[in-house]
Amino acid sequence: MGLVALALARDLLRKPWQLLLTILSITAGVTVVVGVDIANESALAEFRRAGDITAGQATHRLTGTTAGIPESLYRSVRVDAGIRLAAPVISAEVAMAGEPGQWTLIGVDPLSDFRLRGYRFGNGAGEESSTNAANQAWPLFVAAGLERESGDELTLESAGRRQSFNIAGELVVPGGDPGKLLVTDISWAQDFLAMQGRISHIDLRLSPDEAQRLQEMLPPEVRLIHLGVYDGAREDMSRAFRINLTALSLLALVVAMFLVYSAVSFQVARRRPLLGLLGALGVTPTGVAMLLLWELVVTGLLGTMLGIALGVFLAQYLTALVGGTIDALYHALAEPPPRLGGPTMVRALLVGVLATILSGLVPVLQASRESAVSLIRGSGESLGMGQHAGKLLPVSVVLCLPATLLLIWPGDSLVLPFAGLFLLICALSLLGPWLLRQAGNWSARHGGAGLVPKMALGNASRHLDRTGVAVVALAVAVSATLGVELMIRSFRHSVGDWLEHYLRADIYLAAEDAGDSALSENYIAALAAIPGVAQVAAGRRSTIATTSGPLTVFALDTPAEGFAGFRVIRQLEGNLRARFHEDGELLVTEPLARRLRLEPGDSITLPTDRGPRPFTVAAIYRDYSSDRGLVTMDWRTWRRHYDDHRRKSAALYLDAGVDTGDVMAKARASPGAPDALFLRANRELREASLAVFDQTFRITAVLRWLAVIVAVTGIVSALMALLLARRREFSMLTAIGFSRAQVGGLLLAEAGIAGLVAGLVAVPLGMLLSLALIRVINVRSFGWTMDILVDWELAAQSVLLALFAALVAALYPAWRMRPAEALEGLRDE
Amino acid sequence: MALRGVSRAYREGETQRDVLRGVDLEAAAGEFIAIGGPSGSGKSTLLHLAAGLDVPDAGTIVVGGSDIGSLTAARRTLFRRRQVGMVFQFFNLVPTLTVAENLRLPLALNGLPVDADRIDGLLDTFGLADHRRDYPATLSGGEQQRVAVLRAAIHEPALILADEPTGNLDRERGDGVIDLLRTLAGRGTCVLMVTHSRHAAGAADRRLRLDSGRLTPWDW
Amino acid sequence: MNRRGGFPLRGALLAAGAALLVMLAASWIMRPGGTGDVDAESSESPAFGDLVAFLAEPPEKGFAEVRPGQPIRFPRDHGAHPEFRQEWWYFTGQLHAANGRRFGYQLTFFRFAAGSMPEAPRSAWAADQSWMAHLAITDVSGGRFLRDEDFARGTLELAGATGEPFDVWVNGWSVRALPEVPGCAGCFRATLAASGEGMELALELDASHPPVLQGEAGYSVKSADGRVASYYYSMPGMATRGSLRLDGELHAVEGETWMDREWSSAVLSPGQSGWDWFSLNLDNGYKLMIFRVREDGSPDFLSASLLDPEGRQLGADSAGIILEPVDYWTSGETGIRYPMAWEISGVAPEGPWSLELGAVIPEQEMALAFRYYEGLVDVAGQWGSDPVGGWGYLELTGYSIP
Repeated sequence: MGLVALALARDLLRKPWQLLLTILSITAGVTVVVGVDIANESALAEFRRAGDITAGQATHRLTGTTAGIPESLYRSVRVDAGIRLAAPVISAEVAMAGEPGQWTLIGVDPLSDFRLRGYRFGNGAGEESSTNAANQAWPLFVAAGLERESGDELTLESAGRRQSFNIAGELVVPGGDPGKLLVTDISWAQDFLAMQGRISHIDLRLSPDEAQRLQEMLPPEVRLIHLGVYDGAREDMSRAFRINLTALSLLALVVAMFLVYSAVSFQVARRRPLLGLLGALGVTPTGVAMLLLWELVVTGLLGTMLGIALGVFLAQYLTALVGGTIDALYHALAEPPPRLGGPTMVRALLVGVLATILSGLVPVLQASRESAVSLIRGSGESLGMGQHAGKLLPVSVVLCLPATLLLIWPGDSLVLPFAGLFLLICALSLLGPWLLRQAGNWSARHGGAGLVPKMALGNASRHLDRTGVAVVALAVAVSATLGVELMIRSFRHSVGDWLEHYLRADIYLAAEDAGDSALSENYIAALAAIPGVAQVAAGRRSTIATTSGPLTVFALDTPAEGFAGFRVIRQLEGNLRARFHEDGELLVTEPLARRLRLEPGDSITLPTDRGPRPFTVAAIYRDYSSDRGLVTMDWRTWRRHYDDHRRKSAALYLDAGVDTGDVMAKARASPGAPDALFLRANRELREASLAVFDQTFRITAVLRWLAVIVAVTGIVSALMALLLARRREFSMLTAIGFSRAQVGGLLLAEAGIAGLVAGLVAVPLGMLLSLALIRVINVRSFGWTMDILVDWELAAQSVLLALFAALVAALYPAWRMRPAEALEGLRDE
Repeated sequence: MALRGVSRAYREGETQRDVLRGVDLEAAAGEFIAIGGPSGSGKSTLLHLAAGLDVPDAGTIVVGGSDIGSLTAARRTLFRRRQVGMVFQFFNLVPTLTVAENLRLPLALNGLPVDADRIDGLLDTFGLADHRRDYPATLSGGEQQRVAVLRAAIHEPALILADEPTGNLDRERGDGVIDLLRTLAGRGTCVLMVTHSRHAAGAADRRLRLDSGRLTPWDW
Repeated sequence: MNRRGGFPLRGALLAAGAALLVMLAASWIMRPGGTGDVDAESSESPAFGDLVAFLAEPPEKGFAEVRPGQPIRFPRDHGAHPEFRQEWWYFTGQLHAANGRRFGYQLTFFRFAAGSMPEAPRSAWAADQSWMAHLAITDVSGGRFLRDEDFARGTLELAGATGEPFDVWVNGWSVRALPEVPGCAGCFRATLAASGEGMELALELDASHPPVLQGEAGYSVKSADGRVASYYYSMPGMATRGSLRLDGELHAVEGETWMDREWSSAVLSPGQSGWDWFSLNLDNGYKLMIFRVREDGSPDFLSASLLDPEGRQLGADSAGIILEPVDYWTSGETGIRYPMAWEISGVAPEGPWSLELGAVIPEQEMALAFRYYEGLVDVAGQWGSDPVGGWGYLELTGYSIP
């Protein structure tokens, strides 16, 4: 068989450009998949690493609600309960004078901390320093990246307090870069943050028995939580986002697969005579198939390896985007460096090679099954789309059924609806070639506007194998673009609508000092006293640690006008306002309701400063500010259950006709104003929020364009193949007297028709896509529902996009159709 | 080789074309048989059936004692590989293998030992030694056909089937090919040649004519 | 058209090779955990340096000085003396299980005073004392040695030592006197509890003999010129009962414990490299304590005390005692070479004595934040004219890698 393989291989290499096109098709798809995979993995790794750095080897945490836990608890844990792996921590967000952003200051007891976190403190000269180094006043250990020397001073600020620290040495954490972490001794941290008597939490590493024992001796307001939950919560936060990205990247791969199919079936067609000869000489069909499949494997490997290399480059760009998006949404990430891991490479290799084999399987199997006779004769078209055109419609319709089923299958899975979506795309895109065939038949029967259009239509229809694939690829890419864009526009519209509805006040302010800053009661009184201010509604947003992850609680005293801003979706009967204000019941946002499976009337237990307490859910409302969801309660309810009554934000309702700017200036100047005050008028706030929205969807725009580029690349390949396959025909036309421009124009017309058909199919497909995305995928990913927007202008643009893309793709092949080529076509005979 | 009552028809769209109707043919080892007839008369079909490339609708084809028409496609392929050598009008040689490699191909396929000297000897004898390392595209038509015949015979098959082997060649070159075929027949191979050239047919032991699906003697 | 074979094949192979190289290069550059990551070894001891180097530093200002003639009173002085720089409570003992298994154990509590700070934080976590505890168990039959350590700062009652009642603890490890009237000043019955890596101790110690003051009424000098001294007393012969858990197996044990107590503000003078300390319990009832401080370039300083079977202190002629190391063991972990078998001889009122002692198993090194050797030893030899046997503990400090 070796000689046969050699013959086939040399044959393949005689037309290196065709081989290259096949390879590049798969490369294009794999590049996008790998790029996204790396970006996702890097983001995930960053999440885990960030978690590991702060939690170290701890498995549990003793934590309170809003004000930490009593420091005496540590003695109970260590001495009375005899638990060995426990470390007390005081932590807070602080600002550093002269540097932007927030930093995390943690105060630890090095004597107990080393077992859990393994932080090491260098004395700057690269040697280990003993705790004697901490004998200097206000010691601070910082990451090397900060580029400060031991002995330098550093001023930190938190909640209005300032303190100058002395840099005692370098902080080295296992597992990488400490990032924005600052470490000091717990005693100094307690002094600086004025937390005498209390600490933030105790980190522990516990066996299940110890955990049980500890649980029994805790005071009611202290909770023992399992840290694994937090890691899970962090990963969960971005999981939906990452799945959506992966789905988009797979789309590019699917498009690439279409193109490989096209390239391979052309190659097989071109090699028919050789394959037939080999059959005549006695090579079994199985033997031929095996050899061709091996060629596919090698091609797939080459294309995949190149795709991996290119994907790595793409990943640099994508990772920054993904990281930026996740940071904007979840505020959790330093910029993750892109890392290519083993699993990504293995996945890419498997996916790339499998995709190549799958795409090429059909033409290869067909070629091997045909008898040697017809192969030698080269009779018949390739038994692809052309011959089975009649089956396109029924196949398409039949596939729609399971696709729809998968989409509407109840449950929480994201994989099922995505699978259904892909199936739907495949099913409906088959209508494109069907349409083309119908158009061809129609034009054959009815003559028409002219010879050239009729020829073009007829040709496009006749060579459905080539044109059909191009139509499908383009339809898929354009419909995906349209569908996602429609979804985003609907989303944006809903968000804008929500903002307008929800932001009822005229001015919003919040304390922005680093750390746990608040608006003092004096300041709030001063605000109310400003002329023109009708009402001040103040409140706070707190993150409470629960056994199932962090929970955001929003407590506010809102006037009737503000209450009307809640877009309630489902509620209990009766006076909702009374339930909220007087009965202490809660409002819960959609994402939270979905995550915790809450309905109005359900009870939810929240940790409070009086111990865990049950609350009733009065209503579910629509809110896009967080995809983890939040709980809203009346300020009085908060006061009853929690000790920290400081308010962090306020909204001002002004009388009619009052100048907003004037009031804002007075607010800034009023006594008691925090140094850093967030102050925005209603409209500014709305615009800023929408800007964040746009930023987060930037990455999907990139991916969509990538899919279109992949499609266009493949169409060039398909059209080149078409050109070569029909060389005889074109040369005959040239011989008859068609000028080169005319033949080129014919090709352009064919491509244009294909593009137009693709566009027409893409519109309904894209709309169905956006429907699926809005109704199923977004709801399951993030819990948000939104209104569906139909943008006809966008639909029309998509048709034009498809047409344009096809024409652009045809330019090169049309230009290649030179007289010399034509003659060569004749010479072959 | 014996064909008994072999019929084969093709369906094209709505119509059915009966290419062979109850054809009988007996050919002994070492016989050189020429088959002529108007074009499109199914001469190639006859060869394809004899080679096991196709299966008759009716009748039996017995070669070396077994009915190849009843074999599975895989078995037929194996039969063809070992017992048949084929020469076509054009596209005989694998364009991506050198002349020497083309000659080696049937031996390699059948797992027969490759005697490089024997191949060189054959090329030498027929004046093709210089082209041993060349690709077929660089040879003239006649040279290509001669290599094709050598390739068809190199694995000593029972049957050599030649479909218009001289169709593309001028008389002189064509004679070279015919001589080769005669020599092979002389060595005991049964040679079946389809041709429309009276001159080429003249070298055969027996001449037959395929007309309207039946085989009749070819008047000379 | 290619005429000669090979070229397109080669070109293809080159292209494939190039693609492979690019891919491999990319994947190496971008491998996870690339450059600059630090190994995580978070359960290693913090490297506070060698004990001896730390302790040989000249006394800092602000600590009390050890002076002769200061009365030591009990139970008051069982507790901590924070005005002195360092202090320890040393419990070593031998335990037997019912099935004949034999164990040695050591539980030590250390207190160190921190240097003075110019400014102290306003926080209950501010501490001017830090505490450390060591736990070790020698499993003689199993040939194993387990050790562990713990640390605490001296605030918020995380660690400390009191005299009345006698209580010493570091986090969860403790020795606490039971609430009952002792039979003598300084006597006590206490529970000892400690659990560490793979081991757990729960013992009851019965100190029924009064403490033995070493040196001159507790003033124990450590060098010939008398410049370095500590307050030092011992309580040997405490009957011990309780349980020991080793790797999940629980043993009921019985035996004897020796407690050593010292506090001072300097332990070695410059030039002194370390010490060897022996506590020997002979089966004829005599108890011998010997320590020798090794000095470079000067004769070693030796001090000893002898107790008769009734617990009376007899004068021990330090000058007549000869210590001879006869066998060494090199630690695979630290590379330090320890003499773990000795021949010692001296003269007692009953006559001359000579003893051979050796570690029951060689691996009894405390390779923790501080490194020293503390091991159970077997004793055999002659006491006067009679053969004698016994057990004891051997402590070696200040040995370094040869």
